[in-house]
Amino acid sequence: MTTTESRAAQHETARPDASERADAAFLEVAGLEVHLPTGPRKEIQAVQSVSLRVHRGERVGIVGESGSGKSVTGRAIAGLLPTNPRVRVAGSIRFDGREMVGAPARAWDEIRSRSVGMIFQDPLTFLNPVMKVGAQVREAITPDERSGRDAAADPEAIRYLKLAGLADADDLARRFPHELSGGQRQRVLIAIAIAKRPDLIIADEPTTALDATVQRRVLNTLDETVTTLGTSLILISHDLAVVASMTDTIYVMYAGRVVESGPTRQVLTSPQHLYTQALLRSVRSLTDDGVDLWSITPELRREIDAIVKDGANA
Amino acid sequence: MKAMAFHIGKVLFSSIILLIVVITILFLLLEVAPGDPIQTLVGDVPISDALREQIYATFGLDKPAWERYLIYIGNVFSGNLGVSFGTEVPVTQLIGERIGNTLALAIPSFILSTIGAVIIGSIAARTRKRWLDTLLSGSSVALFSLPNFWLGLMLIIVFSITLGWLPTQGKAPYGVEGIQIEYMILPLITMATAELAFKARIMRASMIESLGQDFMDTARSKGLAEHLALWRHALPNALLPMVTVAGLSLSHVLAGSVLVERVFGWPGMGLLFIGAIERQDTFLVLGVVIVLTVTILIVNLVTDIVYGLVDPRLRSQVTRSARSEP
Amino acid sequence: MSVQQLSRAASDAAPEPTPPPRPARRPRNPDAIWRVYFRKPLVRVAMPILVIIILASVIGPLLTGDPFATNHPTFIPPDAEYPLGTDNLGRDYLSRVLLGGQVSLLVGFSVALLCLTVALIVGGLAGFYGGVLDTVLVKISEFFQVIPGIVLALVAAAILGANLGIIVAILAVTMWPGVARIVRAEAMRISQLGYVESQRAAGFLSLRILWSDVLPNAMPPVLVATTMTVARAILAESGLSFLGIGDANRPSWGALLNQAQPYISTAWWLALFPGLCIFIVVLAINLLGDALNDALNPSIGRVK
Repeated sequence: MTTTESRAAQHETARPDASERADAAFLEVAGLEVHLPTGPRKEIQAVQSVSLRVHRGERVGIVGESGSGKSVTGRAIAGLLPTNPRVRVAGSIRFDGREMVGAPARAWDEIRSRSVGMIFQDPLTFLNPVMKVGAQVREAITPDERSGRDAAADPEAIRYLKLAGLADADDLARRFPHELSGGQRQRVLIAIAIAKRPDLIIADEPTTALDATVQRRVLNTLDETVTTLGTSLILISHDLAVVASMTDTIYVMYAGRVVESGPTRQVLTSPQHLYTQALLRSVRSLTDDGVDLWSITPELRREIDAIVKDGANA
Repeated sequence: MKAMAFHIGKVLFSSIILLIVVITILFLLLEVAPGDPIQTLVGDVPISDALREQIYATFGLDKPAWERYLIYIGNVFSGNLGVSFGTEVPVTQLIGERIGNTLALAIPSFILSTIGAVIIGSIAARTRKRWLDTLLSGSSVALFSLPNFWLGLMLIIVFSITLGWLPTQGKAPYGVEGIQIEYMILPLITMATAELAFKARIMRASMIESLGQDFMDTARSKGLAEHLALWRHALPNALLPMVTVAGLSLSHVLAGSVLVERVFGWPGMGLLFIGAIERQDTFLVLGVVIVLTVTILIVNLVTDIVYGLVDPRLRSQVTRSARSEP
Repeated sequence: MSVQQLSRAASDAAPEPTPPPRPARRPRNPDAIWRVYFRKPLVRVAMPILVIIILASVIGPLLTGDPFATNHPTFIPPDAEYPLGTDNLGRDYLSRVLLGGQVSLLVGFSVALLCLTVALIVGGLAGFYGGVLDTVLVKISEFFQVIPGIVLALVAAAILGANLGIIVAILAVTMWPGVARIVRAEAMRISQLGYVESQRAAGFLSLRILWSDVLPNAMPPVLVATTMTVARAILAESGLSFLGIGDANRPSWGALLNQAQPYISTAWWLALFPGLCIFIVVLAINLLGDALNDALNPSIGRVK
């Protein structure tokens, strides 16, 4: 833990009253490193010295192509990495100054049941197929706020489902996930994430599995609920347009590292890093529905690669 | 509800087809049996003229094969399974006297082995790669390879003969009605063990799969304690395939009761069956097979209904397929 | 490691609770498979045991004396002179058990061989051509999944008589659909692969494609299933002969158990050894089958 603490000390040390200060971050990630096993004796470093901070009510975007480590970062922050002893996390993750790296499972359960909500990518597989959606939302509500005898029709759960944009929640709460449309299911996941009234919601590619028109509407709902509840948001996406429209701050990740970060507008209008520039070009060069981040040429990729590695060594 | 009824109707229909196939196979076996059909039917047992008459009448032995076949099927479906040669008692009556004893053993061992398998399989899935998991998987392969009836013999040698703790044969002391619990213990263990191994293996695989599903991440993201996530999310999903497996296992238990009843002298349908085979009491042999088949088909039907009730996805699939058909 | 590899690996690893195994590619070289196979510790234990028991059963009776001679004292427990004791008629039990092994193993392997042959023909044709044959095969295997084979086998043996050939035939009839289902599934999968389709398009005779491309490539899982069938057949035969359905002149291990039951309270060894042999042989075969499965499909065997 000593290395962790010394690394954290380089940054601003969180104080107990941090949340009251405008410039103090609610979430502080410093020098985060994640190793994932990829085979019997092989592993990769999926995240390398990533630091980021999220203030109360702030919206942070993490962009990058698949495999850039953005999802792993998001999961690490929520303590949702695979429960495999070979998954190693180092560095520091602090919620209101409370260090979570190396914290016991109970502490993580508490953080997840109160402070952090997570919205996942695939709305079908992330819902339990044999449990009514109302009951699944109810589970996320703090026990003393639950009411109603019928687990599937808890008025509180229905309230959150409505907040997540499901107008006919009274009916839908009694249904099973497969009876809902993709957009509806994604709204159920949003309802689950907000039902604990968290301080922070981490949305990992929340609309990738939906078609374009539904995407827009679900994102609007996410936008509205986050505003209504005053929740901080980490939006993880490969879709620059989505991140641009919804976040205040942006982190660009490549090959497990943050290559550029700053206010969203500033980063997108005057990108400093070659990769960010390439990313923006590849988006602009294509129509909206054909966003393709893999159109970066191999030559450019080698160049970016060299820069990223140099940056790491420097 | 209507859709469910339709689905049940469909399964019922295919069950009847299956029963007809079994009867056909039995009929064909009788036909291809060497020698004259009445000799095959009667075996070595000397029979009365009245009975000979009755066999002729019941099975129309003077008629051509296809006609005999129809008569045979008609008889079975009207509940006429013939009479036992030795005693000239109706086969249905003989079976009726014994089937209770068989179920008294089969059902508890089925229930015990299922509960045990769910617990053991879940634990093994949770602790995989550790010694407990290795032990459980290893002993499961071992039990899988064990001739079940031999296990029964060994249990008798150890617990009845050497230690003298438990009785060896029968369901109660001689001349006593009903079933006594200490007579049940060894047969129950013998019957349950093989099924326990079979089901625990599948439960383990099913549980491992459930634990790896995405919705478990959602459960964790709610801050649910691990045991709650297991209990509410992983287990119900892991149990779904177990419904089908349980049905299969119940028919294994019923078929296996032939061996177990023989080992422990348990006066059930299995022992009746063996006796009938030894005496070449053909009507009784066929009767037991038909009753067993019907029982297994009923078990399958129940399995199907239960599966439809517990899996909401299938429930609506049934609804959809029922709607799509005229 | 290139960035692409790295990123691919990372994206593979991230969403899964454990990294997915690499695409299951069977080692092309059969020698490599066998080398992997024989290096497995379980194989190194199970294989010699099985080989020893087979050899002992085949050659053993020549060395241990006449299994039918009744010139020994009766009911001698195992000792130096009679390693497995003697039975109720004063026959040397070691010779009896070895002879029983001959029958049990013969039944097990012949049933498996028969099942394999029938399964390759029916399953191969059904999977390759589909159609009516396929439907029929599916129905038959469903039938044997529902109706317990041992009961049908009992009835058939009771009616048709019980010599070794009939027993083997009956067991094969009840067991082949299990193997055929696997052949069918594999044949179906392989015949949809590109190279088979292109051969079909090139006008090769379909039967020749089936014989020279589809079936050889379908063999790995089929071999595993066949191995397991040996074990299942030995168990099934022992059950049948324990119930008295068997060749009276050639007592198998199960038949020995049948004969041992009346003397169980005095002569424990009569019931112990034949059962132990069944158990060890079946266990060894099952373990070898499991290991074969692992060697052929490295990804499936590994516990994730």
